[in-house]
Amino acid sequence: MNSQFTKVIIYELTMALPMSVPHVGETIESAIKNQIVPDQEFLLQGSVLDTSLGVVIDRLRGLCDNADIPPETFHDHEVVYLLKDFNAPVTPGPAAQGVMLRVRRAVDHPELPYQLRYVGYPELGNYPALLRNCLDVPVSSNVCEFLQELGAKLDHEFMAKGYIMKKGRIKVTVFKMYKVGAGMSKDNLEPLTMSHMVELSVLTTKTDMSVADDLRALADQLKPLVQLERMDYRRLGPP
Amino acid sequence: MQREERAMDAALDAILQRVVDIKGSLQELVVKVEREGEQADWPSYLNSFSVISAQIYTLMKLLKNEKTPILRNYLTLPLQLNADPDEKLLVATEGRVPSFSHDFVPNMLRTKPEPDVEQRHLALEAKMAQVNADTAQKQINVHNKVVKHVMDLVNTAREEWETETASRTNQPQTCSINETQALIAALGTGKGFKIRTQPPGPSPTMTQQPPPQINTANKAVSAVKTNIKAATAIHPYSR
Repeated sequence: MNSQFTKVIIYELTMALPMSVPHVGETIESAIKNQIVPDQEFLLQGSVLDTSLGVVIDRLRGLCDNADIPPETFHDHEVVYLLKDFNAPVTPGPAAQGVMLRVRRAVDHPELPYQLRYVGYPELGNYPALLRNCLDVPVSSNVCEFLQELGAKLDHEFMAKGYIMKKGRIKVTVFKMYKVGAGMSKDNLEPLTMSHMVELSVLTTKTDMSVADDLRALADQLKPLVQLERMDYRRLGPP
Repeated sequence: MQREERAMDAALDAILQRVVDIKGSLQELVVKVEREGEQADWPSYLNSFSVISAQIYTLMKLLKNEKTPILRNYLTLPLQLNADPDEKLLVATEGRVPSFSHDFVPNMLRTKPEPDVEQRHLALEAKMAQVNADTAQKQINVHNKVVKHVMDLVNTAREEWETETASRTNQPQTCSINETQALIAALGTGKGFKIRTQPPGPSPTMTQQPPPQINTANKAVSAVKTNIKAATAIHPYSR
C-alpha cells in the first residue's frame, strides 16, 4: 500500500508538468518524506497574438530558468471526457454538470505515459491568481476505453502545440490550440484563434499560499505584452 | 449652466440668511444703546460686538467658500430706475428704503469710472479723433490679418502636438481580450471544439438549466459515433 502510494507520488510529481521536463528531485524526496501531495493549483491565463509571439518568447526566456537553451516545445493531444449520469433526469445544480476528466498524450513523445487530470472549480476568495483543485495521474494507454467503460462520454478534444518553460516552481506554457480534424491525424489541424494562450501555473498545497505572489510578480513582468488575469471560464457562458 | 444657477441660488440664500442675522444683531445693539444711554453696561456691549463680529466672520467664510460662485464675475443691473416710492421695496426693507435711487445707494448706481480709468479713456478718445478714417480702416484690416495669422499658427502647432503624442503612445496591439476569453472558454469548457452533427432537438422545450447538459450529452453521443466511424484506420489508442 505504502509503495503504491509512493509510486503514485513519484509519477505525479514528475508528470505533473507536461512531458519531458527535467525532474525536480528535491520535491519528490520531500514529498515522499512528508507524504504531502500538492493538490492545489494557482493559475493565471492570458493570450498573445501570433504576430507578437516572438517578443513574448524572448521575454519569457529571459525571465525563466535556463535562458541559454532554446525553450522546450511540446505537442499534446488532449481528450476530455465527461462523467455523469446521462440517463438521469437533469436537475439544476453543480452535481448534474458531471466531472470533466482530461486525458493528455504527447504526440511527439509516444513512449511517455498518458496523463489523466482532474481540475476542480475555481475557489472563491481574493487570491492574486485563480486557485483550484488539481490532480494529475499518469496512466497507461488504455485509459480511454477504461473511462468509456465507466460511463464517461467524450466531450471534446483538441491539440495543443507550444513552448514550455519554468521558473522555480512556476510552469509557463505558451501554446496554440487546434481543432482536431475529421481524420484525427496530426496534419489536419485547424487553429482555434489567431493567438497563443499563455498560462502560468504552480502546484502547491493548501497551506502554502505565498507562491501566488511570485506568480503575480512574474505575470506583472509580462505586461503590457500579455495581460494575465484570473478569469473564471464559467463566467464566459455555456459551451 | 443649470448647475451654476443652482449654486448661485444656494449661495445667495445662505448669504441672505447671514446678512439677516447680522442685521438682527445690529438692531439689538442700536436698541440697547438707545435704551440704556450713559448707564450702559460695558460688558454687554462687548458681548453684542463679539456676536456681530462672529456673524461677519461667518459671512466672510461663506463668501470664500469654494462652492460659492465668484460673485465678482457677475453683474447686477438695475431693471428700473424710478424715483417714486416702491411699495414692494418698502415692505421688503421694513419701511426704510422707499426707492432704489441715488440717494440711498450712490456707490452701486454709479456710472462714472474711476479717475485714472477716465483719464485713459479720454486720452484714447482724443487719439481716435485725430486719426483719419482711411488709415483707421487700413489699420483695422492689418490687425485682423495679424490676428488670423497667429490663430493659424496656434492651430497647426496644436494639431502637430496632438498627433505626435498620439503616435508615441500608440503601441502595436499584442494581445486581444476577446481572444483571451475565447481561449479560456475553449480550454475550460471546450467551447468551439464540439462536433455538432445533430441540432439540439429536445432541449428548447426543457427548463432553463438542463439544456446545456442535454446538448452536451446529445453532441457527445453523436461525436463518439462519428469518431469511431472515421477513426477506424488511425486510432491512437489501439496499441
